[in-house]
Amino acid sequence: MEGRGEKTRTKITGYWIPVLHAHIPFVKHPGYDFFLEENWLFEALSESYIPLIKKLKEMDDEKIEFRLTISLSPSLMEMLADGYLMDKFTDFLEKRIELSKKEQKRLRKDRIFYEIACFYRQYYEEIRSFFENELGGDIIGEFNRFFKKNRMEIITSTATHGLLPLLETNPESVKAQIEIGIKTFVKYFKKRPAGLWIPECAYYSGLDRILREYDIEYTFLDSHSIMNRQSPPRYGVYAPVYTENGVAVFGRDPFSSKLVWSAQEGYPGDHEYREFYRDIGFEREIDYIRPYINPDGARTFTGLKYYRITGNTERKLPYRRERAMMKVHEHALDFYSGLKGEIRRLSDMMERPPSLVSLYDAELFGHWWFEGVEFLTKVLRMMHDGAIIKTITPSEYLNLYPENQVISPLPGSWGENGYYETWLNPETDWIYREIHYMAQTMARLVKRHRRIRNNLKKRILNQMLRELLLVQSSDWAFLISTDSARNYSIARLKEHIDNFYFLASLIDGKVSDTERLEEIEGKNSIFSDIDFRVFSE
Amino acid sequence: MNVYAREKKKRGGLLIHRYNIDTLVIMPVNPETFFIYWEITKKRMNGYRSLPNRKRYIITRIIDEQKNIPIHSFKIQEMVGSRYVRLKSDAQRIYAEIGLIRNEKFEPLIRSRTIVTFNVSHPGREIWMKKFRNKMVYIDPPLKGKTGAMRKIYEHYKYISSGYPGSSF
Repeated sequence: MEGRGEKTRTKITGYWIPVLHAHIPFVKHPGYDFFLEENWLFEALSESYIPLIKKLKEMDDEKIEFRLTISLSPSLMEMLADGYLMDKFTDFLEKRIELSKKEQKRLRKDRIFYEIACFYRQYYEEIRSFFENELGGDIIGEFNRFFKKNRMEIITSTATHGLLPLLETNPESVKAQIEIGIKTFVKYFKKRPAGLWIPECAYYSGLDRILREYDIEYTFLDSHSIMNRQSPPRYGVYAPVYTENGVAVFGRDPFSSKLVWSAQEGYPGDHEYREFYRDIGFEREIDYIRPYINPDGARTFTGLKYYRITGNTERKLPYRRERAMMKVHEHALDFYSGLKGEIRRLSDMMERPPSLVSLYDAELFGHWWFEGVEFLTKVLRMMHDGAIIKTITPSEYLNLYPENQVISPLPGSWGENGYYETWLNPETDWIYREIHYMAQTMARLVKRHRRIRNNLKKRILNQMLRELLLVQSSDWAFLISTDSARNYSIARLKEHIDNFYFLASLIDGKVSDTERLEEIEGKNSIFSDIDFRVFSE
Repeated sequence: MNVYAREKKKRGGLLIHRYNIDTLVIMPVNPETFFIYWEITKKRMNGYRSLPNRKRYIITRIIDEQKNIPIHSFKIQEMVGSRYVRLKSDAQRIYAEIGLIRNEKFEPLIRSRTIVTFNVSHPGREIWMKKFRNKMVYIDPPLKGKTGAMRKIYEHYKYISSGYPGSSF
């Protein structure tokens, strides 16, 4: 039975550091009532971020102690603070509620599916009510509230999720990504971040020096960057290490990662959980579903999914929420027991309490794994009620244990095969030639116009830097490599490259088209207070 | 298919920009693969007008910076191009250069920035640090309390991480 409230604990023998990385690339298309890729943000909000905040708030109200580290990417912060996108999000919720009502009517004679339609109506109505009434539409504000109460440690990432080892050719790019990442964090949280999430945990030798220059105290890397064969650190990935420049590095724990991430062994693939790909957007008659999919008739996800994974079969069985919730309890208990077992084994080998660092994409919980938020919060409740293992933030751990071994982390990433080929391969390599040349051009113009007073030229240079940062987002190469939103990604790359050179022609005085400048500024409006001078070595 | 057609196909119809700037960039992909791209301008090649079929003599070399020796080389034909290179080497810092072979000697044309490879050197002994008054200071390693603990932790990690994506084991 899960207990409530504060209670006396037995001795803590180890710590769990759960870290969620929340990131969506900057997608904003003014002038369209519906733009498919904007749904990336709206789906993450309605299925992951808001349900998570809602559950954590309930726990906080019940005085359940927990610690959660959340990395918010600057592009996500900017979208969460964008009035235009947030207005569109409420329209998105309206549409989902309208569709679930329509489904209730259609399914009124089918008890099983009618129940699922009722569940969706209630689900989306609660999300809307919580977002509007409890949060006042202010997601970042709520994260900050948890941050101030020390329930959460919020950290930043690089400006637009640039994959730093592939931007290193132009050191200005790496510095600008980091500096703007920090400035954006300060803009929303009014203090400097202690940690910085390196996109895709992609590290290269020397990056720690730059992180130190910006007073970043810690970051996270995948385990193989720590556990080099020649001289693994004394405590492996079960305690942080320092780099030669004094940045603390927390290595990813493979045990807790495998339980959730593994395609074979991971919990999200259980047969009782909701099947992601069976969505009524692809199944209902086109005239019926048209108002809820792409206006051009291209079918897309609507969020209403009626089946469970069932198994490796096309004949899926209906989703049963109560059975899925029972499975969540079973998996949470298994995870919690597994972590306790790991802590017991490791604490026998170590002179200090071990720490298990679990790194996950925030969108995994809720969006990809529909029941994931319930799983995570249930584990946090179990940690509160139990003994032996306790949640902690990286800063708290470093305060308790400031003495750590020094190593040179190996370059690597948490991507497939552990290195950079997900982002640099024959499908995507052309991107880097463009990015590098744009960066060279930017550096040259910054040098030339550093003391410029002309406000129009300042605006142009600021927008050029926005276009450069947007083209540097690792998401485009990832989406091309995984063939997920290939055409959109190529179009976005092309758009930012074209915008950049158009703006460069304005600087050179070859063209004078301020109308187009305003249009670009309105659309790609990320980092409103950017200063192009940040782009320097 | 020439490099333009190949590149055009890869990038869904976009053309490579020819920037008229001598360029040579080497990038790490994984411990055994590096990606190189380049542009050799007409201006640069004009100095070799007297050399017949000069394109036949252009090669790219990868140099181990610390030992100052070439560890890989290949001929190139295209003035704008790219190549993936498989390279097994213990070099820690490498760079690429494009040049012409003339009179059996390499004449460099363009050089890339040096990059650090995946081979990182590690301190031979345990070094420890602590944060003290907002500064990082070196300290003596704590005494090892449990016999064979380090090996046990390593074995445990190896067992847990076997088959784990990204694991090097």
